[in-house]
Order: sequence, then structure tokens, then C-alpha cells
Amino acid sequence: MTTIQRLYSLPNCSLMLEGFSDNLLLNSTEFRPLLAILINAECRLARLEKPLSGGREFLESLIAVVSQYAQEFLSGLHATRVPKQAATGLVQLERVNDNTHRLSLRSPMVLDSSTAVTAPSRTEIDLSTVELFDLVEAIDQLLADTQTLPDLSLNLTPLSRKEIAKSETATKQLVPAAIGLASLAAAAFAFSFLPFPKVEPPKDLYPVRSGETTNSLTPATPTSPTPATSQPTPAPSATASAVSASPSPTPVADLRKLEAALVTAPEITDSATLEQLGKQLRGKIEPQWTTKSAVPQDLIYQVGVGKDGEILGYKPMDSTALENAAKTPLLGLVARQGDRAASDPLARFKVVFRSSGGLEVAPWNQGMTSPITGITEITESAKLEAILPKLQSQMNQGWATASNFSEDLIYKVRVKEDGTVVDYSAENDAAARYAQETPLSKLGKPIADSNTAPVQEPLALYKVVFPPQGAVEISPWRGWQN
Amino acid sequence: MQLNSPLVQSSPPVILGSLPDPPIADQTCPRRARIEIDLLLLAIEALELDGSEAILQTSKELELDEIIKDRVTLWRLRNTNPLRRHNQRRDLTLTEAKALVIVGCSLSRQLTVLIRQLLIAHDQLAEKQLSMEHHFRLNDYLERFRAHFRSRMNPRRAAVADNYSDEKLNQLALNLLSQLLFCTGTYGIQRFWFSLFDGEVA
Repeated sequence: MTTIQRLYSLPNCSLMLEGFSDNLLLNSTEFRPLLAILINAECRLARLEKPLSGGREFLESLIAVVSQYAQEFLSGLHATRVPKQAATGLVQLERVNDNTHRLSLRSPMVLDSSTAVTAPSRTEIDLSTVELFDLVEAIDQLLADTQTLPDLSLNLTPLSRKEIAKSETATKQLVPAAIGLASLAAAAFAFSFLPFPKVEPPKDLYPVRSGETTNSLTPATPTSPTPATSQPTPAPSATASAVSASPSPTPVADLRKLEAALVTAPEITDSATLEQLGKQLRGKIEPQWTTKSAVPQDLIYQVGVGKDGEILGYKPMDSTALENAAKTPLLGLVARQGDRAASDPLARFKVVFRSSGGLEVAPWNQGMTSPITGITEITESAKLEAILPKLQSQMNQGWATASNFSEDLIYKVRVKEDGTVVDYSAENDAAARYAQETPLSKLGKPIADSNTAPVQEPLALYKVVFPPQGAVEISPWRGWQN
Repeated sequence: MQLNSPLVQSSPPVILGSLPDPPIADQTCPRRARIEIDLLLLAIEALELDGSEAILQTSKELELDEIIKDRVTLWRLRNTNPLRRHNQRRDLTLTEAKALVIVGCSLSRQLTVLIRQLLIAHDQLAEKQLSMEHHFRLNDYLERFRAHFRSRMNPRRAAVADNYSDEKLNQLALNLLSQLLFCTGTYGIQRFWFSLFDGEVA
């Protein structure tokens, strides 16, 4: 019987296995016989003079520890679980910093009768990330090799909630692997000898960790509009915090008074002013909107804003919005208006607190603004009517009616006042798939990723439908007014 | 090439089978996974000049273009990352996530040599206590990554705002580069995939 050797070699690491086939009738001409019984495994690392070596226990421990460490490295989370093959503590791997990983091997007790029992000693080596990867890769090549120890295979499962070390703080975990902070890490492995206490993390940590971005580390109390004091507040909200710092009046009574302001005051309609005020309003609400996860469904309010940008009042648009008003920062943001004449003009905005955590602010009369932020939209019917033929002729020119799709292609198209197509977005799957066949692809670009700098020019939105047969249909995206 | 899209549509691409469904409740990607997948692709874009074209090209080669159909779809899938400026408030299904991960890892494999070079260069610079500017290609990658990140991520998000400085973004870019290195491995795809769900399963 001859021994079989297998070598998995990478620039900084090589793994060599020696063993036997379990087939006694081994055909020596067989190209690559099965290595089924391991005698010795040897792991050579670039900066280590003597290889780490051992038998099956060493190899299994090495695989389990390295495998789990690689997973933690990728996710940036630290496990409290120890793989059962690693429980002996024979092989350990711990994170020193982002780019240093300490591998250590306890030399097994030698129980050979001829020699004295040697005290267990440890071999340690610090691996760089590239070296660590080479070790992982050598192991993966071994695991993928069906002719070597086929009973070893890749065995991955995601860590469960309970198996994560909870030492990391919520905000740091928002982008954990990527923005992983190494210093917290070392403990997980250092303590792997100790029986670890089963600590059930308080459940309410989860909404913060996995929910929308929150600035505070603890979930904000959902019942009161909490000013996010920890946050670098932009100038306008300095006044806002001051207002909400004073004891909040009871919500319901106050709501009535605030609604009154909306009813009696004359309205600001100039679009430039509206845009400006809208931006200010968003700037005020957004930093204060900290209780995102507590909103059961979208909450819609009409909000009145004075010429100076102060919030004068708001009105919930349905019962849910009324009941949950206290969860929004609105009340805390309303300015004291003792000396303000009720006849001061105000601008009305529609403010929507999305249950998903988003915030929408739009001039009330525009109803819904464009979901694409940062544009001034052309909404006057006369203008829309004037632009439409310009768009129509461009669409017709570039459109061959012979089509190879079977459903309508629907696009949202943004057009300048002179009829120039700025960009478009596909509104159904077919539209996305066949965009290249429509004239749109030549005239504009898809509403694109990064660099859609907010367009300064006012734009009109149209719905453009290419039916499988027949002429292109174009209509204003929000329909014709009146 | 007669067998065009309409026929293939019904059965999911075979290659997706290499990634099993993790035991999560609603078959959609958790928040962290959406962030990490998008950031990984962002790092690839910072490494390669026309990264998004390469993503589309690769998805076509891997017959994943039923899922990643075109730029628009790709944009929408990637904007499920909640940190994006134009965050799409929709889910990323496991199938879509698998497609993005497979394409990302496949691209990382094509970039193996470069990724290794940059990481080794970084180690050497650190050893000599030199700044990243001393290595042209590495500096180039970091600069591009910072620009991509800042132009696409929403600075109103705490996770973005907290990591906006050059220093923090360089660290993020380097961490992603290490992640990409792991993705190049024999089981890189699987390892990356499972790591996305760490701490998300019951």
C-alpha cells in the first residue's frame, strides 16, 4: 500500500495531506486515487519556519475555525458559537486588527510512552488578510476535491441571531463588514475555552440594528417627539429644538388651534417661494424624524408654513395621521405664534411620513410631487399642452411600428420646456427590456444612478406608451388638470 | 440564438442553484445584505472603469440577464440599498440577490490579480508607514471609490454621514477590497452569500 499525497498550494500557504486509500485493491494505474484515510496534514505558511501539522483532529479543527473566521470576516459580525470540531481549542484564530489575524496551534500532548509528556505549548503566527485568504483558499480547494477525504465538505450556515456577540453598538453595525471595527473582536475567540453564558439580548435592540438608520443608539421613545440632540443640527432646527424643549402641550387641544391657522390664512402660490419653503421644511422635519420605525402606516399631513419658513400649523389628513401625530416631530416644530397675525400668508405642503421611514414634502396643490427629487415640475395645463406635440413628433419619428414585444411599453419621461427629452424610466418590465428599441434610448438616458444632478430647469412629466401595434400614446404623467 | 428570452423566462437560471436559500422568513434580503451587495459592486466599479457595463455583460454571459435585464433594472436592484440617495422602497428578492452576488463574485474573479496587488501594496505601504498616495493604482481606486460613494449614498443616513471622511471611506474601500479577495476563492460565492445572512436567521 502506498501513501498518497495531496498538495493545495497558494502563494502564502500550502496545505499538504498524506494518507491512504481505503481500497485495498488499489489500482496503481488509477490516475488520482481516493485519499480516504488521513495520516498527517501539514500547513505551511510563508512566514512560519516550521509547518503546523497534525492528524485528523488538527485538520478538522483548522477547517472549522478558519471557515467560521472567514464568515465573520465577511459579515463583520462575531459569533458566540464555537464549531464542535473547534471546541478542543487546538486551533484558534483571532482578529488583532483589520489586517492582522492571529492563528495559533496548541501542540497536542504527546502521550507516547517512550518520551516524557510534553507540556502543551502554542505556536502563534500573525497573518495578513491576503495570507489569511490563501489559507481559506487552500482549505476550500481541499473541500472541493472529491478525491481527498470526501467526507469533508463545505458546511456553511448563517449565524443565527443568538449566535452573534452583542458587543457591537447599533450604529457601527449598520455597515458591519464593510465598516467593521476590529477592536471589539478579539474577545470572541479568546474566550472560546470558557463556557459562554447564554445572554439573550433584549429584543428591542433589533429594530434599531436592522431597521432604518437612527442616530440614537437606543430606540427613541415612540410617544414623544424627541429632539435628536446628539445630531449635528443644521441652523433652522436650532429654533425647533428650543420649541420642543419646553413642555409639550397636550396634542389634541393644540391640533385644533393649529388647524385653524390653515383654514384662515391666505395662501402663498409662487412656485419659487414654494420650492424654497419646501426645502426649508424638509430640512426642519428630517433631522427630527427619529421615531421612524414606530409609524404603523403612511401618515399624511397638510402643513402650513409662513413666509419666513416657520411652521404655523398642520392638519392630519385621516384618523391614523391624527392618532399618530405625536409620533411625528410636527408638534414640536410648530412655532409660537402669539404675535403673528392670522392673516399672514402661508404656504401649504403635503408632508408624508412613510412607514418605511421615508419623508415626503411637496407643495399641497401639486398633490403629489415627482418622486424624482430636486426638480421643479411644470404642471400648468397650457404648458403641458404646448410641450406634448414636440415630444410626440420625436417619438413618432424614431418609432418603427413593427415590434417584437407583446405588451405595452410604459415609460415615465421627463421633458424640458422646449421638448428636449432629459431622461426616462421604464414603468413595467417589458418597457425595461425593450427600452433600446424605442426612440427614447436615443433621445434621453435612463433616469440614472449617481449623477443625476438636480436639474435646474423646470421639467414636465409625461407618460409615454408604446403599444405593440399602432401609434405612440402620450399624456401628462399626472393627467390633465381640470 | 433562436432560443430567446421569452422561452427561458419560465425556469430560473441554473446557476442560481449554487446558492441555497437561507432560512429566513419572507424570502427577501435583509437590510444589511442589500447594503453589502451594493457596496461590493461599488468597489468593483471603483476598480474597473466601466464597471456597470461589465456587470451587465457578465450577467448576460452567465445567463442571468432575465433577472438583471438592463441598466434600469440593475439600477433599481442596487437602489434597494437603503443608504442610496435614490433608494427604491422595494424588496430585493433572494433570486435577485443571488444573481447580483454571482455576477459580483464572477467579476471579482476576473479582477483577482489586481485585487491581490492592491492589497499587498497596501500592506507594504503600511509597513513602511507611507500614505496611500505613494501607490498610484491603489490611490486611484480609493479616490474613485470615495467619489462613487459620495455621489450615490445619501448623506442624511447616519451610516453614510458617519463614514464620510476620506479616512473612513478609505478604510471602507480597503475592507471591501478584502471582501472582494475572499469572493475570488473556490467557494468565495458561497462564503460571501452565507455571510450576508449572519444574524438574520432565527
